[in-house]
Amino acid sequence: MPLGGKIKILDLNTVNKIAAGEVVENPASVVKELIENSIDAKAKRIVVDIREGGKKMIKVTDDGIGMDKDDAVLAFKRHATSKISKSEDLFKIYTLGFRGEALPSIAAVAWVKMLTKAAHMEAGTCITLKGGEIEEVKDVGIPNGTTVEVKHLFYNVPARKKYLKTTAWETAAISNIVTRYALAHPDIAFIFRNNNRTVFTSMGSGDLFDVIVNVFGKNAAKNMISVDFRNEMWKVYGYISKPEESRKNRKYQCIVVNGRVIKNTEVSKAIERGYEKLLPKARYPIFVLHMDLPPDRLDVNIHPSKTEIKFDSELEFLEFLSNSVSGRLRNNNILPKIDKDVFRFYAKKTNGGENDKTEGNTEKTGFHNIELNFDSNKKNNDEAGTSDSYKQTFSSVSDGDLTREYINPNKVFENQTQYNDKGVETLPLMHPIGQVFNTYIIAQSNEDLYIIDQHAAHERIFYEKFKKEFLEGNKGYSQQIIDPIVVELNEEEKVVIEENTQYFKSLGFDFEPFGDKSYIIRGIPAAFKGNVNHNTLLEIINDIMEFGKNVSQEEKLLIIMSCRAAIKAGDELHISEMKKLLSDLRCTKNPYTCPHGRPSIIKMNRYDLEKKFLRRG
Amino acid sequence: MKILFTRESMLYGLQRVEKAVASKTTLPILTGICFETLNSTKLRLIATDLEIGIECIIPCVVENHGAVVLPASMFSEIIKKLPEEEITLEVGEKNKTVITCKNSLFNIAGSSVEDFPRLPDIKEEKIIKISQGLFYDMIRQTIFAVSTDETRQILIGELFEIRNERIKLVALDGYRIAVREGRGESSLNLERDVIIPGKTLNEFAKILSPNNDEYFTVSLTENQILFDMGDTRVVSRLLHGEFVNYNQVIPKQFNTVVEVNKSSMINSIERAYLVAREGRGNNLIKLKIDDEGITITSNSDIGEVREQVKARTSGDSLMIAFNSKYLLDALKATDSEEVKMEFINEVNPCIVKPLNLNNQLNLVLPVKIR
Repeated sequence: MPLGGKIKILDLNTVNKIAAGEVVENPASVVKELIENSIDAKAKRIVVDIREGGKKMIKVTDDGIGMDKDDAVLAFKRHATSKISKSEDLFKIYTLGFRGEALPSIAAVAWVKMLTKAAHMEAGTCITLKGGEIEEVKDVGIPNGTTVEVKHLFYNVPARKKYLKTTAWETAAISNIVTRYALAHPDIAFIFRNNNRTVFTSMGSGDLFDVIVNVFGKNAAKNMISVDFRNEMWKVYGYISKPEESRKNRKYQCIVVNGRVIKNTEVSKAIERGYEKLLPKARYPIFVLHMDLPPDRLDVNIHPSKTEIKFDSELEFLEFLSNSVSGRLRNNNILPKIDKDVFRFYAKKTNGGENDKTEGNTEKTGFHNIELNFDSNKKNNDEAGTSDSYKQTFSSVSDGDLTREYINPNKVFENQTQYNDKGVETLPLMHPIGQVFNTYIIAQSNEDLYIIDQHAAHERIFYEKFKKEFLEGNKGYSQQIIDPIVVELNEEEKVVIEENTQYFKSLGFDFEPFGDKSYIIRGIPAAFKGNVNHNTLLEIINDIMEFGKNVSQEEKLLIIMSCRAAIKAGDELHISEMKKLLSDLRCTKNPYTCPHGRPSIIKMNRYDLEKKFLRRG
Repeated sequence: MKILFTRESMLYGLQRVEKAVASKTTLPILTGICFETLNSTKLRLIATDLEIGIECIIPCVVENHGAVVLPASMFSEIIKKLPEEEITLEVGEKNKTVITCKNSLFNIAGSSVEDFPRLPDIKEEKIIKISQGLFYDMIRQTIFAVSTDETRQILIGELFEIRNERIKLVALDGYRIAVREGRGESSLNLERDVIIPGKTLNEFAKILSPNNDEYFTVSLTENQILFDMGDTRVVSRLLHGEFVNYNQVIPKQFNTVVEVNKSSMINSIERAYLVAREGRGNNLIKLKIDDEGITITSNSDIGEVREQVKARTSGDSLMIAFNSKYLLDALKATDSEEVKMEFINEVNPCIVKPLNLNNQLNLVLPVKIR
């Protein structure tokens, strides 16, 4: 047939460009791939520099494990990956990247320069490529870690280049990526610079709340409530906004599955269902949720960009999400509703400011807080000025440069009100006046009157104490007791104790089976002595049974334990005990609610009181 | 009723009985003190909260016999504020009481003694004589280990063991035991175990003179114990129930033995406690015992501390953790400059006792660290 020969095997160059099209759609996708590589390289600090929305230049610097020379060269071969070695591994992916496509794909469509040094190597390696072809490989002296600089993206794919969006749009898209990864990895410090101006930093403190403050601003952060939903299979934790802190779109939602930032409308919808009727029409909650799901039940390999995933038992999972969210919201006091009468929940601002509008007028607007500054003169100056070891086209990343950024204090907090390390307003010093109904403590501070639920407050104090001990790995400190107690358990109780043995032990209960149906308790949690006696274990077992079966959760145990240990409503308190309680409450991270979510303290200010007595209009 | 007395003698009596006046009660009469004449020169003061009752006899001049109940706190405030002159107390119609002293005159509404509960008449034989100073020490060295956990009623009391002339007080709260032994005088061959509420012993200790060899006597009925000091008598109810068999808990064989100066040990633990008390809430300190001596360490959010204490050690080396408060209490209660500490392993009890005496023993259970 004369037509024969029309079908040709594409040359490698073309294949690479086509493949690259899947991975590299725009500058933001380059940033994403590079950040993921950095995270996989165990980086603790990641600096992202861009110019002109990344169209001109993208540079990602990390302090991760780096590569030696051979690996560095291999890294630009397609499907070269350090992360999986056989196809079975695909089903147990813990790293973010794995397809081995990122670097070659990027290299195929841009000028790339990679500087990398592994800790065990004396010298680093510098590789420069153009259009996927290695131009030069040489030794350089650089700190540990990897820097990838991408210039002239799509210089050889004019069609793509033509369809890039405006600089502002591309910048916003990159900012979105960086902040999402910062939210996904609170333990990594992120710095994002646009045209040499730092526009976003996260401290890498490991505390998600810190990053939320950085990303969404402290006003929005104040209205976020922490959540922790888990069962045997799924673990979901992070922060969701109170209903009044809603947004017009879903851009303020961040889903992180096993460290990977993903998009999944179904998940978003499921969470929104949890808000039920609490949200106005066409408003969406803010949330940052980390989901630890078993990797062997996920398929992240659907698309090269890996932002879509599929998981097993999707329906059950979605239902689990909605139910958990709605449960959490029902437990949490929703401020404005109860706010109506004289009493106002303290969680609102104290200093007379009624300016806590729900609509974000003053708060930082999350993913869009980008300064778009494209002063071309300045840019040129920068480029000319900063070239030492890496010569002309590539600007330098020196150590000093990095440190300055990291020390740069977080400017988000102004000092009008005091905040504790959680960014939650601390309670002022309160002087107890007395107790009413043997249940509530009345206290005064300057111009405000407080009513504190003694049980809820004490519960909160214990809860945070236990949780801290638990988290600090200070587990299982068990005060031994003189006369070990033998408890007889029925079948159901036995199941509870067997299923939760580890948790009980890590809390500090020291016990072992004693005969067929009995357990002998030899020690109780050291933190509670005095407040807890031997019956507490039994009470907790009963509580767990009431809660239902799926409670292999230290959280619930902590709540139950703090509930058991706390003083009860009806207990008469001496004034010195009230003082202690109030000062302890001040030290808690979240003094406003008990661990069940009920309020622990309410406030009435002098003005309200005077209004009641018609001293003021 | 009309009596004359001195301010001093009345204050002495009030001080003694006040400890039994009920502070919180549904029976208002119990917030008062009962005054009754015994003979022409003696007045008896009685106070009780129904758990513990104290009566004290003071000298006075009786012109007319009688009895009255007066509000305790007000009456003693008045007496305290009066000058050092002779005081007259006269009770008229409907228990209206007039107190006069030099230029002062008080009219006070008293209450009838008929509603005031009498202290039980204890006619049992006086079974043992004990020196005040000794019993004061015995209480002091054990009372701290009394449980405050109201759910285990029996442990809010101390075991009082009488074996002929040998007596013992034992307190335990589930985590530690304090035992103190002493000798009384008795002609009876009596063996008896009773449990005395901690509160009674606490109040009684306040009445006892610490360094006094004078004796008081103990009498017992089924439900009550009576301490008779001559002019003062203290009656208390006893607790009923099975006390923990503490002897069974106290180990006899040890793997690690330490002899150490008490003060230096206490000082080191107190310093370690400064760090231990921050945060964790369990006041945890760790002891490392080896040939070098004892190393005490503690850490919390705020920092950490390491204390080296010189000690003579023998046996196995050991790493063991304690609630520092329990260990401190035990050491402080031990009346000896040199103390002996005995250990088995990191989960079994530690014994603290005087180096050369056998009259005292403290047992402290460790905190198990995984």
